[in-house]
Amino acid sequence: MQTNQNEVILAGCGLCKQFSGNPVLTGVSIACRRGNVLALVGENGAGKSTLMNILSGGLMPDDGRLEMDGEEIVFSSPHAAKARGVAFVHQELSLMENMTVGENIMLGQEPLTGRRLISQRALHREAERILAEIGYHVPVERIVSELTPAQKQMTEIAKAWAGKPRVMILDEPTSSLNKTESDQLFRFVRRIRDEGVSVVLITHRLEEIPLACDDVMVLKDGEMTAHERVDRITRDEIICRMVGREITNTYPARCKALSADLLLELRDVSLGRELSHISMAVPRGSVIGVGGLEGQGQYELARALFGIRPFTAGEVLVAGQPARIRSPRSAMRHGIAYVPDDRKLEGLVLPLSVGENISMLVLKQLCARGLLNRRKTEACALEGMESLRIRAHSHRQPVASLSGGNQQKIVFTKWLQFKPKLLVLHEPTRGIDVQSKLEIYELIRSLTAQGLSVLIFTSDMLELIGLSDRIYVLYEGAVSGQLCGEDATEEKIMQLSAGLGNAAGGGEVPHV
Amino acid sequence: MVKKVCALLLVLCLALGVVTTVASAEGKKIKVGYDIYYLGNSWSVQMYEEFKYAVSNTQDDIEVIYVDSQGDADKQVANLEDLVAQQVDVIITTPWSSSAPIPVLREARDAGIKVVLLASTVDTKDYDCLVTCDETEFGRAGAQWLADQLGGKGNIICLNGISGLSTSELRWQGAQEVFAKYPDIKVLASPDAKWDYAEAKVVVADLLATYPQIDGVWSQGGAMTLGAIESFQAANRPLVPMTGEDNNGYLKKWKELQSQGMKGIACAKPTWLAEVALQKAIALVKGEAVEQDVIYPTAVFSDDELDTYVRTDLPDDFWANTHLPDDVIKTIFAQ
Amino acid sequence: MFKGSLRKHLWQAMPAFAILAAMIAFASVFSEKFATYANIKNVISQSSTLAIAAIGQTFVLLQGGIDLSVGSTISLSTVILAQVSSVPGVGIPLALITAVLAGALVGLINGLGVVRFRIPPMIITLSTGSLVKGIALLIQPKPGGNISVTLLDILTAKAGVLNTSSLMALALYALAFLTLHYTRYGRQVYAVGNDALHARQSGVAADRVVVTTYMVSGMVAAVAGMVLAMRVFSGDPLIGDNYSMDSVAAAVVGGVSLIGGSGSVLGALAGALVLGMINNMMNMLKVFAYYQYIIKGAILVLALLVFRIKRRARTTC
Repeated sequence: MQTNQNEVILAGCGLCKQFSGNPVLTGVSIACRRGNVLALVGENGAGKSTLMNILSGGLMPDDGRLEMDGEEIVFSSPHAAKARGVAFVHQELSLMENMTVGENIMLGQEPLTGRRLISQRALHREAERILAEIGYHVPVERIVSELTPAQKQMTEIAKAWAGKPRVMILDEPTSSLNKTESDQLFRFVRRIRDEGVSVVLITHRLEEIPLACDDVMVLKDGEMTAHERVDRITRDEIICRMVGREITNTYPARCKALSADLLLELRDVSLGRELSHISMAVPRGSVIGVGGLEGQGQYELARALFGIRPFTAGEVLVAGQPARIRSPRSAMRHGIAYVPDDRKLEGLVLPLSVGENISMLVLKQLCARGLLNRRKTEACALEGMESLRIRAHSHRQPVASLSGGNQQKIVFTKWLQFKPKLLVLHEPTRGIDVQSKLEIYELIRSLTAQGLSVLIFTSDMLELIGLSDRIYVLYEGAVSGQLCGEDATEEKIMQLSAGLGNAAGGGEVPHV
Repeated sequence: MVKKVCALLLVLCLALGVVTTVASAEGKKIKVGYDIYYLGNSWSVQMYEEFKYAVSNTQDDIEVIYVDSQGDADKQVANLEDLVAQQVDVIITTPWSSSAPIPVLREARDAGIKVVLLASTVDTKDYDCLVTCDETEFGRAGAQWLADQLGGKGNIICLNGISGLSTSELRWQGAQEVFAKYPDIKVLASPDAKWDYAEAKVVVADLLATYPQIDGVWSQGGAMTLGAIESFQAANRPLVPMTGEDNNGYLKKWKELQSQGMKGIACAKPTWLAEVALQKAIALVKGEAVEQDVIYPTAVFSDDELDTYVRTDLPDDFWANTHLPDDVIKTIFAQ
Repeated sequence: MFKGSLRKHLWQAMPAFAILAAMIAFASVFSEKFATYANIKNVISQSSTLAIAAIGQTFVLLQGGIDLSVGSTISLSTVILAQVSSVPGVGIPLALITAVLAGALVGLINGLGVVRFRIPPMIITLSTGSLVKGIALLIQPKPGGNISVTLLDILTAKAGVLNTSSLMALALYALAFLTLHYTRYGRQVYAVGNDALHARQSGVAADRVVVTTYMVSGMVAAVAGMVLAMRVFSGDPLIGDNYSMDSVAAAVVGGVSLIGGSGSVLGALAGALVLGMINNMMNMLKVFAYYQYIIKGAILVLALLVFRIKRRARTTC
């Protein structure tokens, strides 16, 4: 079986990929070897997912080629890749919620009886066998929608395994698993490695790497910065390879001293199982950053602050007074504005015009005798466009036709019309050009100079460090540490993000 | 949760119980099954009222079972089947489709149930009695009057009911017979306006915009003629001779404009046909001889008779050719 | 006895069966004519058309679409039968084949519109429905036509309370049940309804599945049209109109999800019987027409409410 440990099953050579002009991968080569577990690490946006999607048929590379068993190959779809033995277990799970665990695992390869009908009994027996191979017990006849996240993750892995893959790519499989479950999974990974399967494991938990992996590959900004045997590289070196960019002076000067006057204070707030005991303080006129790996509770926290899915426990104080934020309306009454991460879906009404979007929240003020006053509406739109330098032909242009940067500025303008006290920004610069980014940074600073407070959730490490007066890092739904803006470095944040204790410390503790 | 479901079911059962009248087995009552074919326009409603009034006035011991077909041929068949299953003595129905009820009516007669058709017929003779008036005559009478008014020459528009329904088809057939005799009468258009006031108003407005010269309007009646008059007025066009039905809204408008030289005619399909149908039904069950086709000639009201029929004290929805007494009419239309 | 997700799908159909049982029990107690041979025969023949149409609708709903052209296809089928079936010699087979092919063609257009041109199912099926209605009106503008008496005899031949039409409905249900729950194709229909994107990634030819469900719906509607044509012994270009919405209602009352992916065709049968029986029950109980609307609405809401309550009870625990 193990004829040649080093035999390359699947290789990518000089892979390049751009998304709307932004290079995401620049000439990366990777080799998936028989009987080898490769850890793939890198910051958010380093190009890990893009690389894996190319390997598994989800994306076509702009340049470079794939080879399988030494021959060039083109995967037209994920299914084509799967048929050739390349399975990708995504983070967002692909299970059919209304089917049983067994039916999901066996989807597409249901055992048939002599009359070409599906044998449910054989199907579930087979699924049980596959789960047993993984070493994890999930009741095979349970409907998927009733499973825990961990059970879903394991089912997903079993589904991939049912196709007898030669290359198995796992994207952060342990994020929903506890310690015991993770150990089980690693045992399984080591076993299939010994059977000759090539495994690629994307992970943010650096401590996991020595447990299961043979090699480590580090990506940074779409380039490979390290490829080593696990025993020849330390954790600190890995972090060093992941980060280490110069923080340029594109960021406006931060304010020197934080005000003692707190605009918003969270005391021990929790939300179901997703957020636990978070305490934070947002002084007036400051920019507070919230960082961490993706999916550590940022989304839930931002939306809870705006009342979309309210906190289930703990206290929220706005300007020192206890506030009950149960809905976006009540959040707005407390002067909180929210710029969501998905602007196209939640922040804008795409078919409507620039003006209509800008005036959306203040229609009441623009009315005269119950009807919208056109002159006032236009004035409001033009003023908004002027103040944020929105580049549109006219306020009548539909927003859908504008660039991402201008769209985002419109979302900002819309909320500024409403004169909020606290601006909650969720990935405010995702997918927008550099020029607009800088303008938005300037804007944020000028707003805080006027006394507004900003709470910014971002996965862009440089933005986090460059903008924030104070940084909170989230890890598994809790604050794993906080840093003062000036002291923050990528290394420190990475360590907190990986849940490695409060290594950095610093900053005053605003706890009451 | 099971409790909640049970409670809901119980409430539903009670609600049903309240509106249910459990039939009691009594002596030799005549069981009449009456199919309310449609309640979607004021004529059909008034005919239904006329029937109920006749029931309350009858000397015979009868029990009526009502079913409601909502202008749906399929549902009508199902309702008639249900009446057969209830073993009524006689069925009174207004066939929505001229073919659909044929099998079930045959089945009813096989089961010994008498069948009375009211105001509309089927394509067979499988019934015991048909009570209606002559629909082709209805169309013919209006058309002849219009041709005479125009001196056999001119451009006209025709407003039809609903294509496919026998009433509409027969009236139109009658009108066409007449127009065929006058080569100088040109039918510009003959759209469907569903016997409906609003529909006609729009259709006629469009036609007025299309044709600069319209000399007359032939209408199948209902409230369409009223709509046509209003469209003429709205377009500032001189009023032309128009035919219509005995709908009070049209009659009132006609009366109002009579001094200005408005020429009109009203053909009438009486709503008291329902009363006759009930009499025939009872007679059939009693074993009396009843002729199979009871077809009344179309009543025609001309300019001179207008005053005797128009009821300025009643709403537009009233139909002049009725046997309902005044107090009943007032209660119906007071609602 | 049933394994896997089928148990869940059948469980969703339970409210419809419970309401059906309650209705039967209630009507039997309060009307001596309800549980008679003649009336049971009526209920069965009155429900057959809707029951059959609901099968096709269920296929489409399960896959995540909706078919509002069902009604027009039914009408067209009655018209084809009325025009073709009495042609001497080849008439009957020709009429049946033409009707089914026409249904398949309507389904094909719907399906291609959805997968090729990305037209929302509600819009494309409404459009083809209107188109088909126009064609039916052109072929035969008013009710009537000549239906072959031989065909009538065949399709209304009785076996106890059942006739050929209702036996045909039962056979179609058995076939649909097997197809949906025990074949790979059926599994794929559910998978697409759950999540078309991930179904595709799992190797399901989602587009093909979508198109075929619409074709099934069209062909089944054609069969429903035949049954209806026999009931009214004529072709009628407008007679099917109500069946578009009623077939959706039957399936949904029977626990089939409007967003796809869950529910069973047996539920649709119960739903069709509930809807088909409401009118008959009211007539048997001699409920006056105006109340019928209220009670019909109440029963429909109740059916959906029971489903809702049950689901909430499950998600909160």
